[in-house]
Amino acid sequence: MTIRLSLRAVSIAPFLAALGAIALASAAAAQRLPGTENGEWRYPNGDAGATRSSPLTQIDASNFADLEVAWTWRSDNFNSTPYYFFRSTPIYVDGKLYTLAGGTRRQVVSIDPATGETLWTFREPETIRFLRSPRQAYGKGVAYGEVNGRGVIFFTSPGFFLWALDAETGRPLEDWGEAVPLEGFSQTGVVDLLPDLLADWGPWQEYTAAGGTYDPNYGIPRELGMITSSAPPIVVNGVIVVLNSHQPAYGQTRIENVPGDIMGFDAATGEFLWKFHVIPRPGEFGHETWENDAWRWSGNVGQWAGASADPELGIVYLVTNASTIQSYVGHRPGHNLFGGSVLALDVRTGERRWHFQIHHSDQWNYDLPVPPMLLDLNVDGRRIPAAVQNTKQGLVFAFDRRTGEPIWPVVERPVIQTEVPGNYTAPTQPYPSLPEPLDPIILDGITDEFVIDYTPALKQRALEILSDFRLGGLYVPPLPFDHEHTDFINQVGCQGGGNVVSHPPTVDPDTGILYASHRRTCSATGYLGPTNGEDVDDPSYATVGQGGATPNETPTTGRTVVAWAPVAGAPRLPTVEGLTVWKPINNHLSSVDLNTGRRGWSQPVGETPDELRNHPALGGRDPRTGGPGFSIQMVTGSLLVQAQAYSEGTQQIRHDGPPTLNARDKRTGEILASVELPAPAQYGMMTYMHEGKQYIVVQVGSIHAGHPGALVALTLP
Amino acid sequence: MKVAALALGVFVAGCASAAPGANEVSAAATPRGGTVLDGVYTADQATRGQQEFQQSCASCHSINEFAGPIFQRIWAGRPVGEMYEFISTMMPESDPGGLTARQYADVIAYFLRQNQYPEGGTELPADATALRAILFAQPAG
Repeated sequence: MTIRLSLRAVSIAPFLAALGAIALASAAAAQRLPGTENGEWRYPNGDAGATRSSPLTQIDASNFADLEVAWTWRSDNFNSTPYYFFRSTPIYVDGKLYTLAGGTRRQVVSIDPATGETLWTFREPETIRFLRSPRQAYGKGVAYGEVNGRGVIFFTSPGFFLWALDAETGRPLEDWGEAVPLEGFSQTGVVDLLPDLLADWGPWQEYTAAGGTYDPNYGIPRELGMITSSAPPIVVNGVIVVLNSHQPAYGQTRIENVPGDIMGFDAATGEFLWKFHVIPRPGEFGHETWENDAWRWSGNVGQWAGASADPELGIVYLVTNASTIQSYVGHRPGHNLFGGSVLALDVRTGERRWHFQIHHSDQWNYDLPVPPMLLDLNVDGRRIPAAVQNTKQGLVFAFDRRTGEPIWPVVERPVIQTEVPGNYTAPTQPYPSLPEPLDPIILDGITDEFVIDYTPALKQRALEILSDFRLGGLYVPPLPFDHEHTDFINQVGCQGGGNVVSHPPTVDPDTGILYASHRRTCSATGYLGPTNGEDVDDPSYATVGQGGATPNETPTTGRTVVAWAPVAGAPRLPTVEGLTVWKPINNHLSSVDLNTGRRGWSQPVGETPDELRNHPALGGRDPRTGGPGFSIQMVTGSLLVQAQAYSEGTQQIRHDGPPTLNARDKRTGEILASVELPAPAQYGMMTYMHEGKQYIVVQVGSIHAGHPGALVALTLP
Repeated sequence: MKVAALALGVFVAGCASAAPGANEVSAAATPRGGTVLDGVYTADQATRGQQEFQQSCASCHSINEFAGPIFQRIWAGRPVGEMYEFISTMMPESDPGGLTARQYADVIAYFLRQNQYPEGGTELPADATALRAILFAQPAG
């Protein structure tokens, strides 16, 4: 099936093709980790290093505008109602595509890469634990491995089962895993992940000692916790590393949950191999960072962003979320290792090789949104195998991936402390001296250089407004609702990165350049108020037929309501004549030379909103803020391929122009050529070479355009 | 506490915001006055608001932020229109003004129901002027 749609091609400067072909002189000769050889894209993020890059060059600046839609794979009929998100980036292995159909059912599909034909599908039988999952629709892909020479697709389900499917047929692998005693389940090719996770967890042991039994249909009793998955596992050196996720901490109201311990399984048999305690037990490294004995009941610290790996070093790299409950953490004082951390684990044993905590005691929803990106850098003449971590905050960290040693010094800076009775904030937080942050406002907040100065009068008014607030940067805690400050009415913090994995960065292993989307946000913090032990709940939840949970409409797990919680009504940061008091960056794509740590170019993505561009105070000047949404991108041999993305979390953003896929100059960020997409892009893209033709597949969809989540494949005529 | 104009300020750091956008202009409604104890929304409206909240708000906000005794204490005496004006110009954070006027009013009706303010026979108007005449109050009893 080949569907060719008429695309409005915009040919810009084909003469630049020659420039594109000229190698962007490699500061360090490319040494890619495996995954994109021979035109493949074996991992959702391309290679094992999660660089979202491919060396393919057939599609270049000279022919990019000629791209046509080869096929569209739509997810409409894989859900009870059309679903407008497509979060899973496909993999391309051995001549076939594999991914998850967008939507809540998380069906695995194999797709013909030339025609878009569906080759096979697999759907897990329904369970109550699936219905309880707040992450049903958040599947981010599948993993590939080989067992006795046979290709196998591995994936984890919202119900928290691990599946091994024959890549040729989609059937559960024979003589693999353990039979699940549930109607409709395969007797092979599956592992119930809960028993191994729970076996050594204190609250579960107490539950069973008191006569509680395991129900594989319901899963963990709600008063103990809830665990699910969204990121795919990763297969490294014959070991499947399983990741997990939970209800987001900002939606939780009770302090207990199950820890998101990381587990390893034998890819050949499904046998459990090891477990890494993300909340250290007594005697384990980092245990002392959980004061108040909070390790006993605290949970979360999941890994929804995915993983990368260096098979030669035998290390898998992961990033973690915060522990249970955002905003108030008085019940778990301390730095809370290994929350908010980069973890490097020995894939054979699960032992910690190194870790780095990116932020201590997270209470800002700063969970790390992308796995570490692995590439070789050339720093002051030294070749360094690096792990680079992008953050929601806009900070970029760079480590020697063998040891975890920061490539440039990381400074612990004092931060504003909480005033909420009983709460805890770490006295300092880590700031890398290099690489430079994506947006310098995050270092100290709205200092003078960031205050709007379109006219002297506007700046004066903005400064007057700001004088009512206490200003900080990234780590500003909420005030208690009844605070008695007379010198300021609230506090303002700023953020300069982005949100979830809807706009992942990419790095070019040939040059060591990072390309990342970012947005400037400054806002007044909310208030915290005492809960007096009360929360809002839905006692009828989690019975068959009540699917479709969203992160915050999932009734929280646990027993003990947190002492303080966010409450709406705090003073906000006013605008001046409709303008923010800080200079806005709505949507920018920027480069950072990771060999030097210095920022390079920055380009707006989308157009400055009309109400800002046409504001009389600007006198016709365009502040080049960029438009709504974020930017998604990948690197090919000669191009930075990019699209404006209009999806974030469960929201979708109205597009402000025809959605396009752009070929950008890696050195300047300038658009060299564009083609129109049939719907706005979202979450990610990938590329592969099939039967001599290079394809680019973009995840698209928009509720505002009436286009359900889909994959669109483009290729040359 | 220093006196200042208050609004619905809940900072969820990981959920970044964009510049404010234009809001849909609704048909004018007649200010009716009174307080949220006077049955100013309908059950159907609150149910619609709940669905809208799940779709557009729940990725960053918990309904617990908008209900309960502390919420009621903070908002007591303040106009519903203040909340409406804030969320209809600043929310959702990544698409400010992206809902219709009616959808914003529906979401506030959902908040009112969560606080057990009584339902009534007419819907909460999707109009800032009319909503400014309705005040939050402590629930009876």
